[in-house]
Amino acid sequence: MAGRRVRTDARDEPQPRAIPDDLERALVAYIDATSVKAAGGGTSGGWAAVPGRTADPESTAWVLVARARAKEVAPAGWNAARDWLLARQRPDGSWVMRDGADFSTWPTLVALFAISLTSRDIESNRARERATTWALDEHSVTPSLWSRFLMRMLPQGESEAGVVLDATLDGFGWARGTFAWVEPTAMAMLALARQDSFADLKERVSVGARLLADRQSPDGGWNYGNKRVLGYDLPGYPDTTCWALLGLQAAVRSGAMTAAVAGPVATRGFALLSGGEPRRSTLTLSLETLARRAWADSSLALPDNATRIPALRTAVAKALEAQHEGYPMLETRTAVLALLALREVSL
Amino acid sequence: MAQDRRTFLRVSAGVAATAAVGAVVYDRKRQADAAAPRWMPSAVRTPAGSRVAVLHRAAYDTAALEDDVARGLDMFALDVAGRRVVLKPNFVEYDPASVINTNPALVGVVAQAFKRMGARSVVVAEGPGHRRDNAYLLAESGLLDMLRDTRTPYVDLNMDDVVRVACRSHYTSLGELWLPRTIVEADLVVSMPKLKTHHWAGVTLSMKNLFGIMPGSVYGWPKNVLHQQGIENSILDISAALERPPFTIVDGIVGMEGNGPIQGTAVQSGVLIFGDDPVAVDASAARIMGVDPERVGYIAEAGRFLGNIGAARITQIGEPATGRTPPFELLHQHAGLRYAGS
Repeated sequence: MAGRRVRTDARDEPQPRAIPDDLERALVAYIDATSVKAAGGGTSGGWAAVPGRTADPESTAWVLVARARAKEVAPAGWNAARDWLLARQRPDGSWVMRDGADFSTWPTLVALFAISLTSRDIESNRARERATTWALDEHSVTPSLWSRFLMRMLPQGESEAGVVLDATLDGFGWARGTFAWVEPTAMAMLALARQDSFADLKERVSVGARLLADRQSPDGGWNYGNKRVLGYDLPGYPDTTCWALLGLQAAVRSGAMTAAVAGPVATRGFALLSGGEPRRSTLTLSLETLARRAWADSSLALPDNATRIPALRTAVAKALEAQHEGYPMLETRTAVLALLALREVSL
Repeated sequence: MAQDRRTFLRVSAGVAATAAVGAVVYDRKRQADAAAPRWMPSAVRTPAGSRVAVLHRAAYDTAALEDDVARGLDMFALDVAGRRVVLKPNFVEYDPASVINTNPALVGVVAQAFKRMGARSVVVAEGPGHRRDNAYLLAESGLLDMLRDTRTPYVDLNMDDVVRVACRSHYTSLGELWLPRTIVEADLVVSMPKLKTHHWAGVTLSMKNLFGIMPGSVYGWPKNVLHQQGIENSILDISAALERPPFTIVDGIVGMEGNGPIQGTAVQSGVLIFGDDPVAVDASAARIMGVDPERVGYIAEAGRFLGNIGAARITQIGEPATGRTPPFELLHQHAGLRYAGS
């Protein structure tokens, strides 16, 4: 089909390109554009978040997820993501976003999830085991016994910072040695719920799911990590709310949390998504579609995903148009999530 | 072991005396530590004197803003011909009912102004701190429309390539920072904060706005590693690590008071503030907000080596600042930031 063109302009300004009318094909083309050439040529140099940047394990792992979940449209060449990831796993089993900057922890969770979906060969299984061991050894910062005592003494359970949450629950932060946050903890649930044969695995997923439930904001959604600060309630964000719903469902599926416990929590989360602010974001609409899909077999009364697909298609088209003008409206992970959502497959 | 009351009192008195002496010694050491420079000589950049321009503007009228920005930039005779200019507005979060972000109209006017001044390139760049959904922020805030209208590129600093830079001050224990390549390679960074209160740091202005350049790909969302190191410590190390101080244009036409920087209340503060010494700009902006910059920890500390905060060393140009903007509401825990007696 013929593509549309948008205006062109001077060298330093955003450069337009043809936009394919087939959204899935356009997303695949975008993901291809983020692949990085290997030193000797070819496309095994991993994938970057946006075209022209350095490859990173998170983006590369999402490409592998796309290959696993959307084989019909994901090129076989995307299997190279597996080799790239395995070659860059650190001796301790982790991956970091930027070589030399050793803070980031979440890429390991995404890579573990991706490898768990795709590969069962010996080398991949070893990588999985090492990554799982690393993840189980990774702990978010929790307060000392003395801090816990002081927090209990403060009125209404609020800390000096006015934070109301159960800080003793062990989750996952974005970075090593930091506080647990919703999105990385949810990603950990998705990754760890797919593992087996590890001591404490179920307990860790269970605690992570309890953490997610604990961090639910009064409006039913999830903020990025806290629900109340300095006496002010924090609003739920649609994208983090979707991540929490996906994480909780993973915990239910693995048996680490019962549907009876998670269901009411999820119902409140979906209620927030059904109302509230208008959602025109590709990422949020993709995640919401995937979250509804994940909970589709539950007894929750959820609106049909068909109500979201048209909005998602509009959002993806708009994002692609802006992206083709040169504006970073997509990341590789967003494109993968949109691709999966449009195809209505499970994460 | 049995212990009679007299022995108990004697021991207690001894312990108390020892503790008191210890406390005095500790307090003196703490004061000495606080006074000791925590920066390298190469970090010192305080000019002999600084100029800060204040212009009054009641609304985001594009034509009027063009005039204001041209006047404000003209006062500093910036030479950007052939240079790479990066505008760093404050787009930390979006809430349709709030005024969290630098107004897109002002960002567009400033971008066009630098293009007219002959800049080789003008890029808008931000690494939003709260939400990873950068596209959502761009679209919903209206920034994307402005970028398209003015044909201005945008870089998501959270996912930019990064460069390792050694710290020139040591308020954090990090020793080095990872900065986005777009920032490191810029000839001029223009910090464009919103005039806001901040629930942890007191106020958020030019220097605090630089928190947003730090890449989420390294530090997480909301830059957790840096928060853990202390917001004020991080602000100082980031400011000192930059090769050159940013030029600053503060959007104070509508500011935010109370529980800023996200959940505060809009306030019609009616000012634009320009300056090439970010510390002096922050000090002047704080004064306009009714806040004593000497009482804002990171501004006071920056005044020791990064720029001027004393009113005697800051020449205000443009229009008179005093008396036009009512003092900003502060959270009760920041009441001590006001001028003594006010």
